[in-house]
Amino acid sequence: MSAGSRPVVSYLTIGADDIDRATAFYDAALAALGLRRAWLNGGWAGYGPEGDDHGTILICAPFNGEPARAGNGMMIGLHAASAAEVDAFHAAAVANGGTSEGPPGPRTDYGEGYYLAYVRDPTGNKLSAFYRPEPA
Amino acid sequence: MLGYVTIGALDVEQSLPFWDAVFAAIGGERGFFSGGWAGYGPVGGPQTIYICPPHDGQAARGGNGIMVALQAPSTDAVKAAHAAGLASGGTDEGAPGPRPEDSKDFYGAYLRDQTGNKICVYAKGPF
Repeated sequence: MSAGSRPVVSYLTIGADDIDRATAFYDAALAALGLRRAWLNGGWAGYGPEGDDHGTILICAPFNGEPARAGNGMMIGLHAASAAEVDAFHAAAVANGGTSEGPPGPRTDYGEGYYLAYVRDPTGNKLSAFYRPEPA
Repeated sequence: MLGYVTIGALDVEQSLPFWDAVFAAIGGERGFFSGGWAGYGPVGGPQTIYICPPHDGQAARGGNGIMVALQAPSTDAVKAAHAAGLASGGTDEGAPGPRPEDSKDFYGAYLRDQTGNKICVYAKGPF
């Protein structure tokens, strides 16, 4: 099996009823982690790192036409390159329509040097940003 | 950029057959089940998908619009994952097939787990 087809999460959709409100939030929060909006088309927005033109996080209205709703227990963990990026992610999220679910700080229960913050997007979907030092 | 995903379960232990079946069909496995959490990933690890009770102590609930997509190595693996998931407590949200119908490079199937969390299993072409 090639590395490209390993069974890991390879993309996500996140439901949003108001794409403008959602992009205001995701533009700011994901920029703090070095990700940018690659496209916005037909009520969908795609985010990823530079060079990812398809997008790995897709914001959209739900497929079934019902209102978007956050799950409980589902959370998306996003890599940060430093604790400072985690801080910036949390600040940008809260300043752009998100809510805090846990301020930035060390989470040593998870491992030495771990540093995380938790937020919810305007719909209520929960996200974390985490920094984990490279193994020595 | 995507580090990990937690997926809430009403009953983690009861949901294991579903997740075991889906992951086995696409080359993954459960790496651990400990302290009420189950971790899944490629065979041999690392685990990046965790099935767990919600942090807030409330009942787990599937979202609407939020969906986790897992890449499978082939269209046969997509079919197998869909069938295995349905046979293990999941519900159908879309039969295996190209999306859109004339696609030569995306072949997906859609399921919800027992809690209602939606997943996609897909293979990338060209076919």
